[in-house]
Amino acid sequence: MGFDDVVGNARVKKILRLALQKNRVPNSLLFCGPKGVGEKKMAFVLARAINCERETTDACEQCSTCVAISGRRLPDVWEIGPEGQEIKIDQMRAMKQAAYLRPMVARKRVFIVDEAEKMNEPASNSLLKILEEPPLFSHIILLTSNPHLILSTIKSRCQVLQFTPVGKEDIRKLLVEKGYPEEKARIISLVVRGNMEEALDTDWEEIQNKREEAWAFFLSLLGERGSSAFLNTYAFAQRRLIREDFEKTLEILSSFCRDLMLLKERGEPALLLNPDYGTKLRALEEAASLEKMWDCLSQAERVISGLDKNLNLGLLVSSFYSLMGD
Amino acid sequence: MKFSVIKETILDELQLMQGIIEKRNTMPILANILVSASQERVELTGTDLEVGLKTQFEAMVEEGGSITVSGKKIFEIVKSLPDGQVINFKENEDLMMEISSGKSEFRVLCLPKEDFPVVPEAGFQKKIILPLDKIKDMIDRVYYAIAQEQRYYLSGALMIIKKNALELVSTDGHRLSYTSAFIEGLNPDEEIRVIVAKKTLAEIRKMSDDKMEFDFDENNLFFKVNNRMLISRIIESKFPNFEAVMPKDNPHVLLVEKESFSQAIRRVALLATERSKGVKLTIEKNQIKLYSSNPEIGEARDNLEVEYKGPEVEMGFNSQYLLDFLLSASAEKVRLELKDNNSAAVMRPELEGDIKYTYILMPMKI
Repeated sequence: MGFDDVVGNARVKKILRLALQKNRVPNSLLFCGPKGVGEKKMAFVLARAINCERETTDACEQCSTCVAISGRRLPDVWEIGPEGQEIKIDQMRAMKQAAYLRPMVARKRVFIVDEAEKMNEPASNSLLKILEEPPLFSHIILLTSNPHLILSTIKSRCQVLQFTPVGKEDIRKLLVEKGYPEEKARIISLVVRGNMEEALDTDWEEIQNKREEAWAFFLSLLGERGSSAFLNTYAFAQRRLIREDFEKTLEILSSFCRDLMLLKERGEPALLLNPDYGTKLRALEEAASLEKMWDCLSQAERVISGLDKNLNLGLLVSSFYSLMGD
Repeated sequence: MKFSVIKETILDELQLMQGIIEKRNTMPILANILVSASQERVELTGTDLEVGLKTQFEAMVEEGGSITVSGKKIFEIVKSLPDGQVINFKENEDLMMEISSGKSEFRVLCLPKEDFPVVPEAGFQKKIILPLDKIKDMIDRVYYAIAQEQRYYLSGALMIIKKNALELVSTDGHRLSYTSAFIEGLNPDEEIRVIVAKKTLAEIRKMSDDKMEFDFDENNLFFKVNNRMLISRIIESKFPNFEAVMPKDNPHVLLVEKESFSQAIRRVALLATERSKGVKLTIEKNQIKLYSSNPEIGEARDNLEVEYKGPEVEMGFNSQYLLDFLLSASAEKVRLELKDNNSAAVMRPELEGDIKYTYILMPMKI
């Protein structure tokens, strides 16, 4: 799997290949971008391309080095992720110790730190020196979907590569290639909003159920079913909600908000994220004001980021509702 | 793969492997050792991220081949078998190693040899041959001063090989230990300066023979003793410019009995503060006064007679740092060279054998 097999992010690929060609791949890299856009895949392709025995600007995927890296058994390429909730300083120390040792088998050592925003403060600070003056034979690639949680001192020491959500068209093509029917591929590619990994994981039934649930939630928010329905369904019953699922519901909800705003502003119907809900949405056009939709979007955003920070789900939902009421 | 060997032959090698293989769980394959059998010889290879060891022994090989097996388990199994017995090793089709001896049988899960990292080889073309005993003595003199903490450039000792001489230097920022030895016939193309990891030094100490061959490439150092070869990844960092730290002008010199000096330090250090372990030495005409105090416990004083005619000097030292030197110096008397209350002290054994030994210790405020 070379660069071409990573879907989307052509700009990042171009930058990396150019760097490989000039043999000037930065030693400290920070990949930022939304979840599921293939940052980790890209990091591993880069690790292989740097070490590939054919020494081109891509990974050949055939030489023993590429194969070993793909199989995660090359001792010079490490993947480090959070242990529990955080990435701890001991993990970073072990990494640094290895980073100052010449590579064992490969040409370069590559350390891929996944969810780098989960580094706690001591762990982050311990990296400052090595990020600033990394040994020539070690590359450290930090991956994050939450760049604002990364210390600015870390950011300023890394070459930052911004990943963008994978284009709808790219996802749709990929899904069709994987054998999805055209219509489903289109809806999934719209719903996942550039999150390619999610697109590949989703189960159609599940996504439909989620959307219906989100639709019900959306209706209750617009006040059509009265507040008690909302409270019963969401605020009081939050215990049965699984956090992750709720996040997804909110994201779908946001997509309804967006679509409704689009319709109200007489936008291009082809841009609808939920074309199959088009008629139902049009029926709501009168009931909802732009301001309300805007509120709803920003509140949903707030709750999603609150969930990321482990805030109490019940309280979040209550505040969501009460703020929406105004 | 199939071979048999007497317990003692393989046990020694497996024992050495225990110091090498990875104990943390970073990479399961590194907890394994690679066992390769070919024509009358079996080769064991173990490595962690820093150090690798290759060792060979003779065995009755029926069938060649190689496989990797848990280094800890194979060692424990071999160790548990009765002494003097022949042990049979065989690889079966299910990626298992069968170990049998007498009526005992074991089957151990293995990992394929392809997963094992390639451990580099050296040609030993440079013909750098070092006397092992001397090096072990030198390692003893620098080992304790290697820094423990997170400064990677200090996590090993600097080895310098030049014409007819070998030098080893270590420092942790508070003290510096320097040894050099005259080695006839040493003639590298150019001066070699490399940092040797602490773990590698510890492994060299465990070896015994009369000579050791040394070689290096871009990434690795190689030390070969007999049938064993240590491979040590080069630590990429600049070692501090230690020559600049060596005091040039320490005019006040005195000789101290090593034994009585270290005993006095041990006594006085009993009441030194836990953290600094500081003792104060007051060197005046023909005597050294030792003093320590700990506000929570009390104070201690001692006194040593020496020959000294210079001015009074009063310095504080970490008692452990003093003892480290005194323990590793092999002479009966040691020589202290001082300048003033705040400058580094130089210590050497009075009579230098074929190994020159210099210890530089920074004073501390007490």
